[in-house]
Amino acid sequence: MIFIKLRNIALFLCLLLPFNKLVAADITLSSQSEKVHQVIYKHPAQKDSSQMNQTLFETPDKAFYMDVVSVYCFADVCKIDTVRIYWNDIGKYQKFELKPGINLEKAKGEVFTAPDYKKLQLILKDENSPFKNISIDNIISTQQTEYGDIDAFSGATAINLDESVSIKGAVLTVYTLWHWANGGLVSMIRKITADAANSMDLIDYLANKDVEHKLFAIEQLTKRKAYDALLLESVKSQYGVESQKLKRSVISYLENAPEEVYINAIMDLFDSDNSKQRIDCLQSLIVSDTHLTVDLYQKLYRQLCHQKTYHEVDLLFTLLEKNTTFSDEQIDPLFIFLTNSNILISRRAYWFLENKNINKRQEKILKEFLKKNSEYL
Amino acid sequence: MKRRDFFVKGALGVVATSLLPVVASAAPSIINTNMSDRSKDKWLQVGSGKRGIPNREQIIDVDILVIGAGMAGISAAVSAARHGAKTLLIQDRPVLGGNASSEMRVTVNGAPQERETGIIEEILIENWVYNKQESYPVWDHVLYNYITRQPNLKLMLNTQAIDAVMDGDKIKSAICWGLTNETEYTINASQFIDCSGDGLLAAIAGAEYRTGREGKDEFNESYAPDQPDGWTMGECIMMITKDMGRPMPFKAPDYALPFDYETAFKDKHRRLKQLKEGFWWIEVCDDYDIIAKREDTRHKLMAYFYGVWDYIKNSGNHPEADNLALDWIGSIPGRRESRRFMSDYILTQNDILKNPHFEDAIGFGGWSLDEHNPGGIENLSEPASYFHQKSKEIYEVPYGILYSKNIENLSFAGRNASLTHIALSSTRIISTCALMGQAVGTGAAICLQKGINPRELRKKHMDELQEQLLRDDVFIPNRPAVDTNDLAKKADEIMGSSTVSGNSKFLIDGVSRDRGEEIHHWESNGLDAELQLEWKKPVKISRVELKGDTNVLRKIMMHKNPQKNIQQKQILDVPPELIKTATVEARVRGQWVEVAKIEENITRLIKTSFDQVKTTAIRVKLKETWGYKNAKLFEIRCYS
Repeated sequence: MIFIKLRNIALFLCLLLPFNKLVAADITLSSQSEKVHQVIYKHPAQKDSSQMNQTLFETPDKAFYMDVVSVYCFADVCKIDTVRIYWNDIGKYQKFELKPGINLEKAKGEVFTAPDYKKLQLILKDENSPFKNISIDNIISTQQTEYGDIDAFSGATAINLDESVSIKGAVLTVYTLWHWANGGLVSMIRKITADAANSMDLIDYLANKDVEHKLFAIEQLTKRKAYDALLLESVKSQYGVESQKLKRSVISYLENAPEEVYINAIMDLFDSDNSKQRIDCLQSLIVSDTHLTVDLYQKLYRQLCHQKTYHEVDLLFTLLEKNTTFSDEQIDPLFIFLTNSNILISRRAYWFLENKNINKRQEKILKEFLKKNSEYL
Repeated sequence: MKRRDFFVKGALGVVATSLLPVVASAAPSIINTNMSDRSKDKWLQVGSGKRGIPNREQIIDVDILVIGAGMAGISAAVSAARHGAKTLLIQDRPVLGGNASSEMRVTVNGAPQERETGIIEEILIENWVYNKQESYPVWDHVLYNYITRQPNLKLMLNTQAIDAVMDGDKIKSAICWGLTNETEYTINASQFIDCSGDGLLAAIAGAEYRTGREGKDEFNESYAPDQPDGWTMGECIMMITKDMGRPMPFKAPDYALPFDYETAFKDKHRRLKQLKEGFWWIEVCDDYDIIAKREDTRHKLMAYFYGVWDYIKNSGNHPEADNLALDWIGSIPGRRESRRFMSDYILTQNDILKNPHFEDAIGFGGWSLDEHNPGGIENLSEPASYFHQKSKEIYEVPYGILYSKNIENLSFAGRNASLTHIALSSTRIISTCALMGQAVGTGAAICLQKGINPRELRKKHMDELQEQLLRDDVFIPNRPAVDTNDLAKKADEIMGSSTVSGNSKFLIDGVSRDRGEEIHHWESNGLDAELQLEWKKPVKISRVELKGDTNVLRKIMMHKNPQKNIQQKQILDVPPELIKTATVEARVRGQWVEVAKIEENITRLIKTSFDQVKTTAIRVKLKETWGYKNAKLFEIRCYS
């Protein structure tokens, strides 16, 4: 849940510093006009629901930050500091800051070293850290493991945290901060940004070089079922970006469009000299159970001579097999595949064609193919 | 009986054995009671009115005898039977599982870095089908069901191997005693696998073994004591309590020993962090012969345990225990260490911490060097355990530690393998022992097929053993599968539905799990996914095998305290990623024909077999998982 109000803030009278600049000379004062969002978020390490109300700040340049506790400590013996966590406009964690003179602590009161802070930043940047899927109870057990209080006999159940994904002696702190940075607050920030974005804003996001921004825009456009021409073209153009995730997102956006829009758009993409791109389109057409219209046939057949890989030829025939009747105009062009030097391709065509209603000339061609390639059939 | 020919030593022999050095041959047997001799029996069977002498002798012929049905023995027996050997598994207790049984309730832990697959995983997953409630007595019967349905495998509970009939350096027969049916069995076999932990049969057969701790100089082990000594890690009993919702008094039994909590609590390990499931540091050891002291140890453990519980309930220091009552307490100690039988190789601390590559690797371990206090609770001046160090990565376990160096047809798995005391402190973990079991069971079956013994297998046929283990879903680090019989590797094209990660070509790369960032899987984008292999020329296929995903980075063990798994949000079910429903089709003369159907699958290794077809393509349709949105595979294999 999010509550928003605007206020002028001489924010955070306590001064904050980037984690790697813990020197007094670098003090900066925040006094911008910012939006304040009251959000309800139960951190997975919180013991109860009493601490769920949080204040999330949105800066004029659409960044977000929140002041959070550094650790939820179950033994009540930890030093708890305030840490400021920063996200960008789509909820991607950016950095953390501490007040001057404040240092995070590890076990036995040992303070974080410069490499520890650097490592913490790397861990918090990792959205898919092992912390993502483990509960606080696992972490407590892991803490015990570090002190040895666990045993094969009695049922050691602690997860094993590689040193590269945690900081020895500070697992609870890292766990706490990771879930601030990458937990449920992320979707809240995304929702705030999405709710405030109009179509043109989303087109701007599509133009952003960052793939995550592009994905964010496509996600929002899919949710909004926004398929006007400008948006459609903007999204389609993203397919050319070298990111499998983005390509999948584009196809998924198209698959959610009205059928006519989908077919036109997917066939536009299919009209390409890139085999992988054509495979993506054919796979989509097969999954989406599209009705094979005359127009669709024409568009598919335009690409027949470019079909070079077995995978796409197989997909093409799988798609065509959805039809039960074929005209001579639909059958005849397919004979071109029988001459393909790749036996997988020519054989696939042969098996497709052998049961079709074909003329004598075509029948003869098939017989010749059978005679020549019987060892492969 | 012929075996008496070997029983030539009497009491003097026993005295002599007590003075044996650390490396010792087993004590010669002094058993000469001829238990099955019932010539004085005066039996009147009133129903028939006949007098007679009951028949209490049986001779059983098998290919492979596995002694001990802990998780190592179970894995050994199942793998041997699956590879065609007529196998008998005997267990001297009424239930299966050994330390993991309801009698002891040691959690089936494994390498914490990543989980073991193969037989041990099959069992752990199957348990979630029959025993979601995590009941240990039910677990016993899950194991019973698993064992008794295996073709070629016979199980005999309450049966102990007590003697060996030798033919030179080979075991010819094991003499076993049926504890519940007064029967003496002579079990003849070609290969013997001792997974009993204490290894009585192996010891009597004369297999060399060690007890105690090596000095640090012998194998350059930094965590070993300066001088060798006789200590072994100790034994424990566990308990379970329940909250009665009202104050529950506790009166300690007369034999309870007072708990010196002030001294005990000076060690950070000896704390009462939970009052639900027992305390591993209530442990009793021995510095000379832990086997001989077994009954004394059990009594002491009960006495110490009740002393601790008396302190908890009656000292006034633990009001949180007011409503707690003991619900179950073990009567059989779980044992960590006793005999370690010597093989051609002895695994040491350095093999675990430095993780060298073994050409004869058959599995892996990963637990820390978790060496318990010499003396246990009777030595409060030392920490309860040392937790010396752990290997950063999983380490390789070689086949060379799993057979006897001087008894030709005898293998081992589990804690009685060829290890130093320090190495054992890591390898003793149950799933590691189970991997050893699967290796020796498979190895024994291959020995049988070839008419050889384990040493020769190691010298000449390790590739064959490794390939079979890999095919059976054991993971061997740094050893990709290269099975030349696998026709999937010879496919001219492998392709699949659109993916979210990985590549269909990774399914034939011989590595059946991801290695960190190194991907070895294919994951579809959604279900009703398809995978297709094509060959230019027709091939004959009768088996298609898949390896699915069970997320080997996640824990799947049941726990004696089910609440713990709930708190830790462990999935208490079949892994959701696992393929549940699928079909296999073969293309025959251009037409797809369904040749196998996979339904309600609960194993990572999914095997299908069908009448051999001559085909140019195989298509697998992956229709349903146990909950995950995509189909994820690590391997596909095809065989004639």
